[in-house]
Amino acid sequence: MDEETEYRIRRVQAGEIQDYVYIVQKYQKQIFMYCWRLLSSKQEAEDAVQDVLVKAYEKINLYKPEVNFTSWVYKIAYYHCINIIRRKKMHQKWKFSLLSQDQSMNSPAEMLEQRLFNEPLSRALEKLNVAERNLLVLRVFEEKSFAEIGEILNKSPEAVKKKFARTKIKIQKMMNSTEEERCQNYNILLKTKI
Amino acid sequence: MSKLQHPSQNENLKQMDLMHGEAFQDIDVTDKVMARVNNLAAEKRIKGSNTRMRQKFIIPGLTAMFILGISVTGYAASQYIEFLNNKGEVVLNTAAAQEPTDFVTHYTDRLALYTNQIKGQLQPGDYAAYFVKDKFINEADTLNPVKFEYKWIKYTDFKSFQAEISRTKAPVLGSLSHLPQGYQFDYGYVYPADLFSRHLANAEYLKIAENLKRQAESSSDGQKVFMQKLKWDKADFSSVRYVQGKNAITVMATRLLPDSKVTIFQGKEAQSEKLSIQGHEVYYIKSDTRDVETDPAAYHRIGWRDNQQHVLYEISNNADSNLRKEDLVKIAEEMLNYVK
Repeated sequence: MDEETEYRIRRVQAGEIQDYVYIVQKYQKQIFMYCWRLLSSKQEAEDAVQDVLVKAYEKINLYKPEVNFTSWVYKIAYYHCINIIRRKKMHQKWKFSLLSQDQSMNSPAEMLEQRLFNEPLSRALEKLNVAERNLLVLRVFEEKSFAEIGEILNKSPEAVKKKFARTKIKIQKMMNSTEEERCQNYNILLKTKI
Repeated sequence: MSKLQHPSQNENLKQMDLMHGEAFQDIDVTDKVMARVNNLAAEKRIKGSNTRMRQKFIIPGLTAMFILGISVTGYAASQYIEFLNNKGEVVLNTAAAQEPTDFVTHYTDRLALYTNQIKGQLQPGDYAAYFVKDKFINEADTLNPVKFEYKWIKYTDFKSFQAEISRTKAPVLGSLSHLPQGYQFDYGYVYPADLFSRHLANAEYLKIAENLKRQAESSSDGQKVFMQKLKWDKADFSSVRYVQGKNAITVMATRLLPDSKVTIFQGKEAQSEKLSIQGHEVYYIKSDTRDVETDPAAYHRIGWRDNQQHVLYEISNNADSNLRKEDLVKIAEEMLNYVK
C-alpha cells in the first residue's frame, strides 16, 4: 500500500472524514468493474460500488494495516455482491412461481449493451457458481495474485491456486461444449434451409 | 510484469473481456458516497455526543443484567424510564428511536453536501451562518432559513482545553482521577451556543437571513452556498475523550434550557435502567450489540440531568471496548462529586 493511502486511512480513522474522498476516488473504478463483472449488471454495479464504499467507511476503524487495504475493500465488495446475487436468486424463484414471464427482463439491445464478455465466455460464466466466477474474475480480469485472492477469501494461496486450476479446466470444457453446440445448431440451420 | 501463472491461457480468456476503459471512465460516485458518509458521521455525532440536538439523544441498549458498586442502587430494568423534577414534571425520559423516513434521509444527505462545502472554507474555530440556494432544502425547513456550521478546534493539551472552557463559559469537564487503567486524555472541544434565540422572531437573525438571501438572488454563476462568518464567545457544549489504544471513553456536557424536556432515544431492543449514584438518579443504557459494524453506538451509557446547573452529562464507551459498567459508574461517581 502506498504511503499516501496509508496516511489517508489513518486520517479517516482519526475522524477526518474529508480524507475519505481520496479513498473513494482511488477505488471506485476498480470496485465498480469488479462488481459489474460479478453482478453482470451495470446498474446494479453502480449502486453496489456506492454501498461498498460506504460500508468500507463504516468499518474503517476495524481495518488494520497488517492486511492489504485493497484486498480488504475487495472482500467487502465480494460479500456485498454475494448477498445481492442470493437475494436476486430468491427473488427470481419467487417470481417464477407467480409469473410465467418476467416482465422486467431487459430488452435484447439492453442485454447486448450490458454484456461484459464475448458470447462463449458469457455463457460459460453463467454456468459457474458465484465462488468460481469470483475466482476467475479476480485472477484473470482483476489480475490479483493468489496471495491477494487468499486475503479476500480468507483462504491460503495454495488452496486458491488449486481451486483456480480446477475452475479454469471447468470453464475451458464448458466453452468447448458451447462451441460444439453452436456448430451443431448451425448445421441444423443449414439443413433446414436446404 | 503479469502475476498470472499461465499467461497464455489466462490472456486467451482476458481477450474475451468486452469491458474496455471507456466503458467506466465516467463512473464517479464521490458525491453520492460522501453525502452518505457525512450523513453517517452526523448520525454518529448525534448518537455519540449530542452536539447540537439539545433535546434528542439516540442510544441503543439492552436489559441491564447486574449492578456493582457500594454507592449504586439498582431498580428493575424497564424499556423506557422517566425522571421528574421537584414539581413532578417529566424533565428527562428515554424512548425508542424512530427510523428516519426517506424524506429525512434525502434531506440530510443533500444538506450534508453543502455543509461539507462550507467546512472546507472554514478554519478551526470559525462559526458561520449560511444560506443554500436550494428549493428542496428551504421548503423542507422553513423555520431555519439560515443554518449554522462550526469547525471545531481539537485541544490535545488538557490545560488548553480547560482554558477554552473558561474563556467560552462552556460546561465544566474537569480532570478525572478514576479512569480505568491505561486510559489517557486524547482531546477535548467545545461548541458555540446558539447566538440567536427564536430564530424567526429575532431581528439579528432575520437581518443575516435577508443579507444572505439577497446575495443568493443576485448571484447567477451557479453558486449554491452563501456564508457569513460570525463572532462568538460563549459555548454550551463540552466534550472530552480518553483513549487506550482503539478504545475510548467520551464524556460530554450540554447546557440545557431550564424548562426543556430532554428525550434520550434508544434502540428498539434496548432497555434503560435507573441507577442511583451518590444519591443522584442517573440513566444507564446498555447496547444490545457490541458489533460496531451493525451498530456503531456506544455500549454502556450513563447520563444525568443536573437540575441546578441545567446541564446534561453523559459518559459512554465505544461499542467493542472491554470496559464494564462499573468502570463508567466510577467515573460518574467522581463527576457527581466535583459538580456538586
